Parts: sequence; C-alpha cells; structure tokens
Amino acid sequence: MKVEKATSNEIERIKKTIDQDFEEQGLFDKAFKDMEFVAVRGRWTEIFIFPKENSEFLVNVLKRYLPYSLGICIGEFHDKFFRIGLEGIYEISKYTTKKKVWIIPKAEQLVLYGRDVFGSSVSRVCSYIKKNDRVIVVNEFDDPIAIGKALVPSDEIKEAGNKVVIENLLDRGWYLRKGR
Amino acid sequence: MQIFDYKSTDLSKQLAQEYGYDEFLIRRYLTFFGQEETIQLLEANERPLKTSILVNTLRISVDSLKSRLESKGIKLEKIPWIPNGFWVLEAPFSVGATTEYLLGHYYLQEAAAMLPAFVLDPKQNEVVIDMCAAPGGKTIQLAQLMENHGCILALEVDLRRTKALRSNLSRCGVKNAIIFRMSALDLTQLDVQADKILLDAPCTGEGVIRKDPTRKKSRGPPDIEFCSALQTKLIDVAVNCLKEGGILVYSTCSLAPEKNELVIDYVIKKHNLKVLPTEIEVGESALT
Repeated sequence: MKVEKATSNEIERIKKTIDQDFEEQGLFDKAFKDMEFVAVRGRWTEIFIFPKENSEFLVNVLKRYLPYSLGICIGEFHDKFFRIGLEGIYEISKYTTKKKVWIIPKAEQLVLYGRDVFGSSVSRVCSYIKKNDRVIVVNEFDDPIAIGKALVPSDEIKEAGNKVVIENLLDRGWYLRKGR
Repeated sequence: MQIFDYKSTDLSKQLAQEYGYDEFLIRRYLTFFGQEETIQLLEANERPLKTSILVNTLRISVDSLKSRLESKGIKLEKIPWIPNGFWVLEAPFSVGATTEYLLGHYYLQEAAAMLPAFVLDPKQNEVVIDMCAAPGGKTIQLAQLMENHGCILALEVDLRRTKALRSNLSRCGVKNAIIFRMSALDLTQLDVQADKILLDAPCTGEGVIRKDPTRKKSRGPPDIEFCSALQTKLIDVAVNCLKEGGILVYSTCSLAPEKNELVIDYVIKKHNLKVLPTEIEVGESALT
C-alpha cells in the first residue's frame, strides 16, 4: 500500500466526473474547497479528503509511518474511472439540486436495506435525469441516503408506479451491513 | 505494583454471594468506599444501563436532530453535564439503525464516556492524539469540538477495531483525523509533539459491569496487575509525546486505584506534572 497526495491528473478526473455526472458547473470546487486529496494505492486507489491547512503536517507524518486511513474517503479509482462513494455523495449533495430523487418516508428504510426504488416511492424528482444517469436518492429532509442508477428518464419516474425506476448502487445501510 | 487486598469479613462474603461478585472486589469496595456506598454501588450495577447518544454537530444541529427523533417516537432526556448528550428514555426500535444514525447525525456513547474528550477541550488549531481510539466515539467528539480543523492522530492496534474506527469516523464525517493501526506504546515512532493527548486506557472494566456482568467474577488480581503495568507504560509514552505545557487527559472505565490514582501519582511524580481541576459537575473525588 502506498499513501501520497493525489496527482493533479487524478484530481482533474474526479472534478470532471463529478461536474459532468451531476451536470452542475463548479460543484466539485464548492464541495471540496480547502481540501487536500490523498490517494491510498492498494488493489485499487481510494481517494481521501483531508483539511488543506494541515497538509504540511500530514506529509511529515506520512514520511514516518503509514496510516491505516485519513480524513474521509470520497470514492475510488478503478482503472481510470472515478467512482464516487457514500461520503463523496454526502459532500456534494448539499450543493446541488440536480440529479436528485426524493423518496417518501415509507420507502426510506427499504432503500437503506439495499432495495431499489419504485416509481410509487418517489415524491419529487428533478427534471434533468436521463436513463442510466447516476442519481442521488434523498429523503424528505434532503439527506443523501443512496447512490442510484436511473432506469428511466425524469418524466417517466413518477408515472412508473410499482416498477423499479432507480437501481440502488450503494446506500448508507452499508455501514450496518459491511462497515462495522 | 502493589495490588490492594483486605481481610474477608462476614459482610464481604454475604454481599459477594448476594450480588454474585468475586469476594476480592467486595473486600476492596468495603475498604475504599465503606458499607453504605458499597451497597449503593452494587445496587446501581444491577440497574440496566440507559442508552445514550451524542449529537454530531458536524452534521446536524441539536434541535433538528431532537425534533426528528422525537417525531419517530424516540423520547430523549438531556444529559445535564454534557452539551449535545442525551439519554434515550424510550425508542420503538433500535437507535443503532435509524436513518439519522446511518447519516452520522449521532453516535451511541455511554454518558460517562462523553466526559474525557469534553474535559480535554481541544481547539481548532491543535494537534491532538487519541491513543486508544476505537471504536471512535471520543475521536468523533474531539473532531466536533475542533470543528474538523486541526489534526487528530487516532491510534488502534487491533485490526477489527481499526476497521470499526474508520467506519465510524467516516459515517460521522470526521475529516481531520489520521488513523494509525499501531500500538499506542509505539507512539514515539510518529515523532509528534501534541498539544493535547487523550489516553482512555484499556482496563479490566469494573466500571462496565452493568453492560457486562461477567466482569463481577472474571477479573482478579493478575488482571489488575497486568492492566496497571500497561497503563503505566502508556502514560509514560503519552507524556513523552506531549508538548511543553500540553494537556493530557487520562481516563479508564475502572474503579481500581491501581489503574487510576496510583497511575496518576506515578506519572506526576516521575515527570513533575501538575494536576488541573476538570470543572465538571459530576462524579466523586479520587481516593487520597
């Protein structure tokens, strides 16, 4: 395992992925302002954020001992593709209203158990979603509870009734199922 | 280190049998606290531990979380000595599996365990070391008090517990911590001089009998001796990694003076340290 500052190329790819996937110009800059990006390279590369104000301290400590983890992991690179994770979504969610699907309280626990989202569970949907887009599944309080893949575009989501409209890719129930 | 033991009496035998303790512990309690307080302690240990939560202000305000949990039928009562701490009086389901828990809006932590980080009172620009950090409740609390600024070095030697530590810090949005999987005894390898250090030392857990009643009988003099020796080594390491004028908070979940008062006595004499008042309005004075 190797721990080092993420390369400028990696940071550029993260920025491009986030800004493009969520179609919100400047989203990356707003969400990760004043953050240092650190890459932990193992079988794949995890990207962590850590306050930039402590960069120098971090670099010095890293020279002496390899950390197990630092800051929070916002996602992973698999080959050259950046895949945003639960905490990455948490960080960007407050700065965007695009690519969001709001679900009804009754469906919240089901999503947190790993279930997909039915059309009838959706209370509101933004108008920018295309089929196969990555979407942020949020509850009535606008808390991001899952990352999903849209199986139909925005205008068909609420009409779909008991059909699955969002495939659950990763939800915060992960912390109970695997993260303990 | 000397392990205190005292003569058996009819009362010590009777209480040990009645409450299901190793008589060695009862003999000590009767000597340290007297009959009345010993019985109060044994009675208190029979009462179930109240679940308590610490609101994670990195993610939500106290009022918002309170209102959200109460709307789900969870009844809360403010813990008077800790800002952001609440006892859970009633819950229609497990508070360890709610949406708010999974979002990191709160952390399950015993009320007494909320004190050490609060007493340490870390500031935003400081370097703080949490020497025995897993599962992470105190580290999360430190990060909250520092508002995710400064830097926390969180150490844990056990792999399974280190994983849990990472998961909990991540879930609660702690950005200013670096986790090291290493023994706190090796802390000097990091070559860091900290402004503040929290040493919540591993111990025999006499203070968690309400959670784990097997501890009434499962820990004897050799365990106390082992823990006390380890704690003495740990506190020596802590002092060596503390800046001049820095602050160290030492805490355990034990009542044994060999793991508390005697460790403190040893370290202040050896390193010429000063004991500071904590200014918290709960608890009892130490044995002198």
